[in-house]
Amino acid sequence: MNKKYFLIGSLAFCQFMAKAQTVPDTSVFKPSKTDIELVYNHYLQNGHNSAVTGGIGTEKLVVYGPAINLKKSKSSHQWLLNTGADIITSASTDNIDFVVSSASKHDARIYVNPGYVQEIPSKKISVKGGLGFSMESDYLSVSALAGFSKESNNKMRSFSAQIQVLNDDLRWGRVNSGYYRPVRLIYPKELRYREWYDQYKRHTYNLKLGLTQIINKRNTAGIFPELTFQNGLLATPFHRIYFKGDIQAVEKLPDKRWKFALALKWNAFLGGRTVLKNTVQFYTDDFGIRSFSYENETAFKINPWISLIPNIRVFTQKGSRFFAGYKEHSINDRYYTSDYDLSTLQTITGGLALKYDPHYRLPKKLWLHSLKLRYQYMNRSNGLTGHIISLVVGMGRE
Amino acid sequence: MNRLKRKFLQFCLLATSVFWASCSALRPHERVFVNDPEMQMGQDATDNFSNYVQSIREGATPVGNTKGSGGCGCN
Repeated sequence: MNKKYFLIGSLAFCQFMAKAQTVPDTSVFKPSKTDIELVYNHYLQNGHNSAVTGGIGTEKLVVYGPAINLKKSKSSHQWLLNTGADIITSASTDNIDFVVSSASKHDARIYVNPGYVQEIPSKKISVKGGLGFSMESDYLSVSALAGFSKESNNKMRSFSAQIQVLNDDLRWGRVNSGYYRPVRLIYPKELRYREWYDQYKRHTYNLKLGLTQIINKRNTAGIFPELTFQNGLLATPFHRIYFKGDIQAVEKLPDKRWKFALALKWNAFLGGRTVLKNTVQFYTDDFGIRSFSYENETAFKINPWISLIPNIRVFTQKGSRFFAGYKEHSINDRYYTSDYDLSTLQTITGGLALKYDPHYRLPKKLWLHSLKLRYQYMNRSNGLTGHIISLVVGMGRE
Repeated sequence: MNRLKRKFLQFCLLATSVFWASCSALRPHERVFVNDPEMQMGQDATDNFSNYVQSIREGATPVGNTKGSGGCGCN
């Protein structure tokens, strides 16, 4: 009898002490030690309200934009690098060349953004810092940023804050043969008889906040306010203005600007294969611009590797009080611009992306994680149209 | 009008507090959907370029735009 109880008791104890097989949490994607993204962006644009020619004239433009994103992770450290170039072929850039007044049909923007992230797992905090460098023929921008994010103990909520300072120099000549140094501001060729501005610097201070909350098993929401202050030369020196009566000048805008934007996001997982991503955005500034946009991106997971992602964005903007079209400004106006980007407008953007996540092994311990191809068509109420094509190849190395 | 605005703000604050408080914690096995890469709030490389174009072609700068500079956006 005792033996029987002893046997049953021992078996029960063994069962109690036995460890169940651990089920790996496959829902969390574990990043590789080194992640590499090869990116190519292609942008085609056409319109007939170029600010370079005072609100009339072609806005035909092509941008070829190769880029590379690197992320190296080691324990709680991450090193980031984003670098690339935009080669711009523009019909009106030929009117802003300083040496010859035409035939400068190409321009380039080169940018390098290194960053560092330190995670403190015990406090669920990560701290980040970064630098930025961006250069084109008439523009040099140097920036620095610092920020942190904090996750709640139950991983349901996270808060982030980031501050960025940008210091821009609008002088021309850095990537132009025979110069390779900043010379002076570039004005329209017929308006170079005088200096229109007494400054060439632009400073930007930007504060970004973010709060995300997991609502339940299938819904996540976030709120993202952003405050920006700019001072210095906020006008573009080669933008022409034609006043009533054929008098001509260059664009003039205030030397200070406050901007406030607020984005609300809501992501929902419907059924087992569909993800809805919604963004509503509000914007206001002291140039008098107000805007509202709604964006939806819906991912349909055809199978575990392939997703089809259509997207649509509707944008409406009330224009700046400093804007008027070609020959509509009065000579008595204090500030003036004929840049249609600052006008009252509506834009509809729609497109489709195809995403393929093969996790295919390549030579030299490389893995092909993902391929994404996206096309978007943009149509603005003043007749401007654009085509955006992006290809991203994501790879990783253990 | 100001009173109406204040009432509306108070309602928004209350609704947000109730909404926030009603979010209950999820256990690890319940996070399959919220941990899906498509459910994340961040932007990928294709979003970054679209945002860059928007930040030049619109006077209203979008939240989270990646523009490294004011940029000329010459056309």
